[in-house]
Amino acid sequence: MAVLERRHEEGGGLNTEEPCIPGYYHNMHAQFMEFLDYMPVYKDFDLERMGARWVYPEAQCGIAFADGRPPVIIHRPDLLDRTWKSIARYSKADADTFCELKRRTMEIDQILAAALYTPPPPVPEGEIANPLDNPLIDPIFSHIGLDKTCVLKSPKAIIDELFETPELRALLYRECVEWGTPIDMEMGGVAFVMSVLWFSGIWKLMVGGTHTLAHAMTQACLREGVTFLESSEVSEVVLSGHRAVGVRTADGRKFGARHVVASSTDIQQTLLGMVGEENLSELWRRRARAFRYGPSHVLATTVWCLREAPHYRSAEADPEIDRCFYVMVGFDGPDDTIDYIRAAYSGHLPQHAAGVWVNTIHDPSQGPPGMHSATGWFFFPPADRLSEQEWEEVRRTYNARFLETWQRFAPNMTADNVLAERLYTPDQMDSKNKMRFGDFSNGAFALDQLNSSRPFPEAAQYRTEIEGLYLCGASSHPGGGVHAGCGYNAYKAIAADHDLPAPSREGRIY
Amino acid sequence: MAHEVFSPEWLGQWAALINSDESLPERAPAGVWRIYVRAEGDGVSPYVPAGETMHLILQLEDGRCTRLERTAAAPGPRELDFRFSGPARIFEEVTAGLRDPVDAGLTGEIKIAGDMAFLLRNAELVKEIVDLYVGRLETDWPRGRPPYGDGA
Repeated sequence: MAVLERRHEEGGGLNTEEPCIPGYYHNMHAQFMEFLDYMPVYKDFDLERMGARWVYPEAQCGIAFADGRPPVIIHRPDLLDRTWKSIARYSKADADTFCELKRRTMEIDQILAAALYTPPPPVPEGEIANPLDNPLIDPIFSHIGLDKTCVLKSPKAIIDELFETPELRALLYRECVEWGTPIDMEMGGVAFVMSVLWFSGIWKLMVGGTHTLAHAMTQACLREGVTFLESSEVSEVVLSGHRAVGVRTADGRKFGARHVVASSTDIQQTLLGMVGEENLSELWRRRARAFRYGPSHVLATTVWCLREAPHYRSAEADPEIDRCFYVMVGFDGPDDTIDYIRAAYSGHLPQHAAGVWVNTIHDPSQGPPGMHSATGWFFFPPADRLSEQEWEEVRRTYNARFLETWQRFAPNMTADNVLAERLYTPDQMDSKNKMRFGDFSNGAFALDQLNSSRPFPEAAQYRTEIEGLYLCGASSHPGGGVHAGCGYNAYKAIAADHDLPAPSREGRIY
Repeated sequence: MAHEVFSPEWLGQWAALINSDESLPERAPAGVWRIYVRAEGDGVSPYVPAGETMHLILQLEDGRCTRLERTAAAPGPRELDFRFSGPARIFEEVTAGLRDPVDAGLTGEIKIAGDMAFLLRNAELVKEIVDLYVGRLETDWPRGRPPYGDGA
């Protein structure tokens, strides 16, 4: 088996670099790992023996306020009493509701994980996938105790219905979109359960940066006899008749494939680019062309080298906010959060606000002794909505404006506290990581591009109309994120087609 | 000796297999647990005619099988803890070892109702009970064995 990698190293969005000052490490894309407890590759290939290590901060996700109001902080699921206390400062009813929903969600987390690590149900030819046919809706909603009418609603509508506290709503809106779930997507009930109830509080931090996870995966592959060819951009899937028999690289090298070719690039690059429109049926050509990217998963990463970690005004009410893994900065209430998200979705640069991580608080190896590396995410419009010059202007000015905001929330975030900073924008993510238009899921989350319809119904089982060509990237279910679910599900299809062993299910139901 | 799938003798043999596992009572949750299987005739299965329904009750008591039989009608919801329902063909394919029962549940071919958290806590046990009949139960298929061909 050989892996052909376009870049000089493997890992894609799992890239940790020293973009400003040597010794200050920043994750340029993926930040937190919510799937380590679930991803089969992690246990099956014993990635901790290959060097993967993590820490699990107690205070996970919080929102600070410029006027010093108490923060709202979601803690790990084993510390729900602290989450309750934090929310109860504003509303005991909300604290009860959130904690009970969270507790019951974590009781069935394996079922939620199974939804990611199982190929979606196939849709019979000529029929349309009905999102309400999801077999897990009944058991999930019954167990959690959520009114089933929520299945039809958008995550925002559900958050507004369940919780009265503006400060909590502001936090949960943002929590919802961290994985790319569109906040206003109708029939978003399952997405709400996943993104808000399940993912909140289960974020882990890779020691040394997220790239260490990619390194561990590479090491495991090498151990298993996989060959890696870096700086090898695949430009063409070589066909014999209607069968994939190899690939050709941009520099003219040709590699034969006796059994399969599996593409982790996005669907348009794979089908329209590497296979070629002339080799596709009219239906597949039309489907691939119609596939949409963004606007709900488009990020910019802001990186900061600091003398001191931020000290928030809200820490007077709860010092935990200063040690919180992820802190929302720049949002005074739910309107700010929702306006911010909708601005990015609609192609505009949002207000200067972010979610930030100061990883050195929990892992001092990511910065020089006593100093701090901070990283943040801005949700931004897709790369093609701004010109090259406009993105250059954003890179030149946006961080400074954000720092002004940051200082209102954390007074020690002055220019003197900042040794260096940089902004990594969606157009750069596109050119560097081939995340199309900066869309980290390589395909919009929309009802016609999810589950049994992702990337489109005929390709949703990881097979293509080209014999021997499989899809194992984020354009397939379950989309982007560091879960390794697309590859796991693709392997199931490959294994079934080639009489290979099914993956082990030891310790899990999927 | 092989018995016809879903026949009283076949069910009896399955119950005996469950009860032959002496470690099961130690690992099983205490108390009485009733599981109901509802297999709908789908026009493909030769064992459950189209339009008819096979009702099957499995009762576990402190890890011992105390009831495993077909019934004429579905039990009331208060009389059961879990319900597995789906086309008869799917249950037959599971029995023949052609289909993974967990995958069938996850993809909705078999619908599951009941306390999902309990089911997950006891996933290994459930798997073991299923494996008993998939792997060790000798089954006779006098009217044809799955897969059934084009209609399936």
